[in-house]
Amino acid sequence: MKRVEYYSILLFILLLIGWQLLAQPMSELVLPTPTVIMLELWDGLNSGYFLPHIIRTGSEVILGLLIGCSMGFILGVLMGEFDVLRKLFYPYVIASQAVPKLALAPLFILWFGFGMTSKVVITALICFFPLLENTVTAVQYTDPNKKDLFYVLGATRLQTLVRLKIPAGLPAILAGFRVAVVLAVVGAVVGEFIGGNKGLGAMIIASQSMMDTPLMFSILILLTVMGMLLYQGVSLIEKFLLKPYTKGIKK
Amino acid sequence: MSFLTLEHVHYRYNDLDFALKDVNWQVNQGEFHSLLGKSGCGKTTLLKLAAGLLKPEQGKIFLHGTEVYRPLPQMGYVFQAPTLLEWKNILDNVLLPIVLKRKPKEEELDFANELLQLVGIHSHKLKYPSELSGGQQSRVAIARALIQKPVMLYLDEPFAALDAITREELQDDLLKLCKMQKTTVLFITHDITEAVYLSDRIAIMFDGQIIHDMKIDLPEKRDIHMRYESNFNELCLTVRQYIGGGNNEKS
Repeated sequence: MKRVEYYSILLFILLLIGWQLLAQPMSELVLPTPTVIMLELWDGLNSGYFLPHIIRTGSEVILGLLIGCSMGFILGVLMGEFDVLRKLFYPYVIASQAVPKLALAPLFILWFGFGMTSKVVITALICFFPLLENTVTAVQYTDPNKKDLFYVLGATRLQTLVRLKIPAGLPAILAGFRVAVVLAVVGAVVGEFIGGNKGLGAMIIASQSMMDTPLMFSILILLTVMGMLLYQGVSLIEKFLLKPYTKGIKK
Repeated sequence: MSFLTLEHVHYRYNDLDFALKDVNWQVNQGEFHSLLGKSGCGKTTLLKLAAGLLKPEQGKIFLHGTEVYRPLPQMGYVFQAPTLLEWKNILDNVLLPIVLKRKPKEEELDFANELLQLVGIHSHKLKYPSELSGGQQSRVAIARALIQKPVMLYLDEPFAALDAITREELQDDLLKLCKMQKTTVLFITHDITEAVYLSDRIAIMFDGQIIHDMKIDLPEKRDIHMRYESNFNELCLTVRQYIGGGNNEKS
């Protein structure tokens, strides 16, 4: 286990060296070397140039994630629990799944303006579906023996939902949340591509028009780090919440 | 004296064959009744009907004078699998039947602890189900079924998945607990020695009907030596012959 981790770090260093050697003879405009990118990144962070953009994109991602996931969860629970609602809404859900949601971004900019709202809406919409899908399935397919148990114990429908179906489906629901987190960054950045002058996505477009490739790379690194941090955060939450489910299972 | 009564009970899962055909049966108060038969003979269906999990197509079922058409609060049910809630610790799993109705009282908490002590897993009470072995989980399921001091206990092959030695231990525990509270028991099994060891009466089922009902004449206090006595083995052979099949069928 430990040994593989060493190799992984070694591989990373080798890749960096390879990149440096490959990029050295090339124009900075095409492929800047890692050292140039690191300097750019350091400068930007030190001077506080990146900070407002990081905060902007970060808050779009988090707001969109919270709004989209909670709506997806609530509607998912309702659709999983009530057959009527599921039959009523499912065709629309499938239809809206088929629409490439990022292609709706220009429309949202039109509706909600160039500010933060349009990006939050896009992000929320993208996060909504994985959570909805997983929640519906999780609530719908609870172990029939456990449902019988609750029936024998005289539990009400609400008790069965809150005390059985949702906790029993928690692993699946959290898996949907993990997918949503990764998509959230994509949603916010693409929203910023299309309209707006703030946020890391808008900066990528700006750096492109300035032909400042090192800046573009440093923003890409920032976005990657942001995505990874979010993912790690969610993994930690997941691990904490699912502790009892997996305690006895040796990894 | 009859405690649980089934009168002309019919049941079928689809429009085709009857799973149960005109079943008439009585269980007396305080007795341990086993229902024995091959897989698919309708044992579980009969148990589910008697417990109110299913409604008979024709006929009536009475428990202590009350007609059964849904699970009654004074009954306990143990499923084939332990069916514990993975996200609750052992003590909370045992208290589940009470928690669904109200906040557990001090004496109920004491009784839960006492039950866990009796089935020998008191030291694990703060662990989660995934940390326990199959036999320990079955013990928790039995403790949970007894927490409300049911007058009638239904068990659906609760020990089928356990090894022979653990099963013998659990049989003794079960007998001890049921005698202590004078619980009437309906127990389903396909294991002849298990049925003979546990029961005051055995009903043998075949193809949706009770084909034989016999009293087991063994001393009330059961112990391990009894399992190897000739008297016990003769009873097992008698039961086996009533079930039919085996060598006779091959010819």
